[in-house]
Amino acid sequence: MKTVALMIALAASTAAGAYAQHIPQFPQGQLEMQSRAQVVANAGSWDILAELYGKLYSPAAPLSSFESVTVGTYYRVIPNLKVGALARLQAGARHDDDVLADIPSNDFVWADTSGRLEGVLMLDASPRFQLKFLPTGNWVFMLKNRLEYNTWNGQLSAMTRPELTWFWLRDRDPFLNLSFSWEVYFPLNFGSSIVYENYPYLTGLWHATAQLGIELSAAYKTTVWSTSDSWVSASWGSYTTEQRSWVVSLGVVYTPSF
Amino acid sequence: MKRTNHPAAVLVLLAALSFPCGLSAASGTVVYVEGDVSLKSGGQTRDASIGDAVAPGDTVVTGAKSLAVIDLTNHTTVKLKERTLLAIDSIGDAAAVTLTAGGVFTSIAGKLTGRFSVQTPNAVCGVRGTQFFVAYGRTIDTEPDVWMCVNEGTVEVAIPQTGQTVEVPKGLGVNILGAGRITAPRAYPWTRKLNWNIDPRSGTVDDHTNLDQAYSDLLDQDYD
Repeated sequence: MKTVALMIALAASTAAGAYAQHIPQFPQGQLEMQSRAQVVANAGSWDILAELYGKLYSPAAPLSSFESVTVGTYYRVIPNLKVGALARLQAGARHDDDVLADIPSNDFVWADTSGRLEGVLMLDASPRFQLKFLPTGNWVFMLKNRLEYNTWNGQLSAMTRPELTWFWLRDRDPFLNLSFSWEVYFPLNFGSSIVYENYPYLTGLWHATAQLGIELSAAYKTTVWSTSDSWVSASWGSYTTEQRSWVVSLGVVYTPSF
Repeated sequence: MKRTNHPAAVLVLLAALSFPCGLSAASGTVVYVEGDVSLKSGGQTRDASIGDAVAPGDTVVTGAKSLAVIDLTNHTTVKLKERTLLAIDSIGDAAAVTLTAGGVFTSIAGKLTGRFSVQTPNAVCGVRGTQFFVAYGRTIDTEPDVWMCVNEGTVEVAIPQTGQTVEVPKGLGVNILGAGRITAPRAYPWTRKLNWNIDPRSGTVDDHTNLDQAYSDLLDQDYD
């Protein structure tokens, strides 16, 4: 009896060891740099938004490249609530199935997604409240909630982002905003984890003029990768593993009013 | 912001433009009223009516959803927004009014020989303009902001206590912060909604601009 138990234990540990070799080892702590240019035109209760993201630097694609373009509109239902509908065209996005099993190297490689265009449709609801009881009274708490549907692979995800912003006012107008945000993505029809991606980040927005802002933000991003189809085809078992990276973003925001 | 309160100081909007006829008159005239408008004169208060004479020492008061247009002669007309209190200090070549609440549009048709001033407590401004708007804003510090914007001509705003002087061209406006400092002139989107018409025969003279629009709405700041 003891012999049988020992054999089972040995077999289990051997199998575990074999699977451990086939969990993709994502590089950790790498730095990515983004650029962002945004126009938010205000006309009464409506905001019209256009946004362009570029990748300034990433270890995978050191040269600058197009990342996404977003257009959409927000409507201010009541002073404390805005709802919006947006559409995004993105290139170079990575999903779980872009992790390819590379049998010769016994490792993973990323699928080349740089030329792959994906459409994303988004619905947004963002309640916000001014926290006048805090010092200066110029604090706003916003809870951004967004549903995202990727038309390329059918993935549906929900994003929520609590955000606290302090406004430094000069001459009654914002001069500098400092925000702390925590963005969390929940996969609704894919993956094997509850949270797909989350990143706390700090943002500073300097209002160079009444309509032009310069933004700098830094995020610590955690992405949870789940077993890819390629992994399953290679019979390399399953995995759920995290990848962490730093993302620094430099942006320009133009806010004309009509 | 630390500011000093100088009750004797005044906000003066001076329009010093040449006027070919050099008219002078002892009284102005109420040319339009809407809603609840009263005229305080000689210790008595009565409802104002079109055609009433307005003399130095009188005070015109508008209630909620009300307005009045007063011809101060010398081609100078003022339009009082709702909830405004305007004292008539002098009329004629050196016309002067004092605004202690609400807002007032001023229109100078043609050119003046003398001066025209709109005063508020705490600051002094000099104006060369034909159409400008002065109104009280929020009280964020200890005293209310005073907004001034120019539709035609140029306005020179100055605070004697500090020596600060700012020239405000057409299309721009300033905020006299708690009457203590003048902001740099800039185009304010909210001023596009002002109704500059001062002549009832040319259309509505109502102005429903809410000065709250002059202040940044922190709940309307979105950047993604």
